[in-house]
Amino acid sequence: MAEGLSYVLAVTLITWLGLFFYLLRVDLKVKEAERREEI
Amino acid sequence: MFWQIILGIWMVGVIIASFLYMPATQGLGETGRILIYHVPSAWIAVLAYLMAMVNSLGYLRQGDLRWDRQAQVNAELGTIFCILATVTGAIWSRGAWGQYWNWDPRQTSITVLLMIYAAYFVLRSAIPDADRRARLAAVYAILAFLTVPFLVFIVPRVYVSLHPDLINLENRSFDMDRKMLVVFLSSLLGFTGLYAWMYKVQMRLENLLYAIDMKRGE
Repeated sequence: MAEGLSYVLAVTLITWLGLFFYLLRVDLKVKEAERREEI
Repeated sequence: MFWQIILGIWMVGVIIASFLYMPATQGLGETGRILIYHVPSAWIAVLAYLMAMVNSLGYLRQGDLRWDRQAQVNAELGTIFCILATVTGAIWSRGAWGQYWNWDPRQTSITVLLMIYAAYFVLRSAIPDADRRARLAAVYAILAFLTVPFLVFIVPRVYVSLHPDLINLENRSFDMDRKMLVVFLSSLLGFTGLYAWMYKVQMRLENLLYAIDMKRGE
């Protein structure tokens, strides 16, 4: 692996995981809001 | 929630494969790996803009504001992915051409495209009446999409561009290594799943906001 490439891989992975968990949280929040709206 | 988890794991696999499994691209070196993210971003931008046009046609035919909300969400997602494609393209350009920006036909046409869709949001924000806003925005979104094939596919091929072309028009094939093609297609699938997820969440949010507005109006 070329020098510096592992650093770019780490940054890309962290960025994706950050976005993924953020989206998951928003999804759950929307689900909760929909449930309250039905009540 | 099941397919979202699968998508998360799938993209982790794509990211790792794009660095460890896929070889460096011939001629482009290590910076060429960015095309695994750049091309799918551009693909999703075109897909979302196409859907915005389809939704706008739906609104003009049926007059249901749900179509308008769908068109708005698609235009927003299209713009997000278009910005992503521009940024990843500029990063690649720095590695390959030595400059982040040099007004290559591809860079110029994507800037024009972003400006066209920025005007769509300006138009929406300038009209307070929901029906009038939906009608004018629908007509604009249809006209805006007519420029997409021209700006994305025709202009960069008519003018001399340094931008590499992945599709070999003579052989009707992809100009890439087999390992790279596997990672590229996996990324394309992953990005499409991400778009579907973002669209679904945003639509549910817009529908909730609409329901609250309706309750306040009663």
